[in-house]
Amino acid sequence: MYKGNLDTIILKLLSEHNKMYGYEITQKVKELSQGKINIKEGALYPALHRLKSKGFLEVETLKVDNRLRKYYKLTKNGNKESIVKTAELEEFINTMQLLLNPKFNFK
Amino acid sequence: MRKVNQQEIERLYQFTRQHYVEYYDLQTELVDHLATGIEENWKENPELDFEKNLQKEFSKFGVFGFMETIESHQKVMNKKYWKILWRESFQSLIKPRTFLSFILIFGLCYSLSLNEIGFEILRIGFFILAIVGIIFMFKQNKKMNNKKKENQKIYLLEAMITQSQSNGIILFLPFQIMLINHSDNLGNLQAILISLIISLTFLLFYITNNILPSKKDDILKEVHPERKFI
Repeated sequence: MYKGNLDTIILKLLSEHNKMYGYEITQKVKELSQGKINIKEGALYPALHRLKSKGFLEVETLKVDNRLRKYYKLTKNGNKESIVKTAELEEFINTMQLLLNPKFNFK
Repeated sequence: MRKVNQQEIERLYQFTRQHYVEYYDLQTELVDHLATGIEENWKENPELDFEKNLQKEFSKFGVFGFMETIESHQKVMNKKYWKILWRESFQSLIKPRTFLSFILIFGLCYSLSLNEIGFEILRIGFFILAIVGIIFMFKQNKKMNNKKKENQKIYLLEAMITQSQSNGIILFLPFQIMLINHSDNLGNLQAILISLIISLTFLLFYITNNILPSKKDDILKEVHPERKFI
């Protein structure tokens, strides 16, 4: 269901949180969707790398406990892209709702 | 709450290497992911064995394991490498010394390619240069492979710079030129084009084998600021 929208989900999440790391993103999506959406790690990191390559994300690495952790943050362009992608997805959902629940006009 | 200790972190690095993650930058990201997952599982079941816990977390990557992640990382770094290569080429070309050398090589190639004997000289010269380039490339690859065997912390971009990754593509062009038969009457436009390709090849060869390796530490600092933690 979310396959084509993974980039949008990541951008939207990062627009609401200052910075997040990979594992945190998977858990947040699970929590917000009440367990209905489960992002596969094998899909998450390619998406994060792709978004970073396009200049929508930047990375900050911090030492946490005894290891290094990469945090992803939105860039200026990433912020703009997040707005565009979210609007596109909302429009798509609205269109789908029109198709699935048509309001008949009996005039 | 039980935490992943230093010895277990080392085991995670080893695990990623065993699953074909060769470079330290990606290993580090995956190690943190696996370690966080393992610690989360321990919250519910503190007695869970480390290795079983690790397998449980690894299975979340799907049937292809780390492969998709490795590929995406490679693509991103390739893009980065070429971006740096073009930037450095442009910066070098606007320097008078490099620009003059570029024009001289172009002029020499152009005058040689206009007659049959000159073109033969050019072809033989390039053949020798290509062979030297290939030998150099193999040597660099061997050096990098030895470093990998010693489990040294190698970043993908570092490997690309050290192995002069673009050499393969650069050497492909001269081989194409070697295949051109001069008896087909090399026209003026063709001679200009060939000379331009050769000059650009020289420029790229100079950048990949001299400039980039000499600036390696600065480039890595720019792309991987996290190296300060190591």
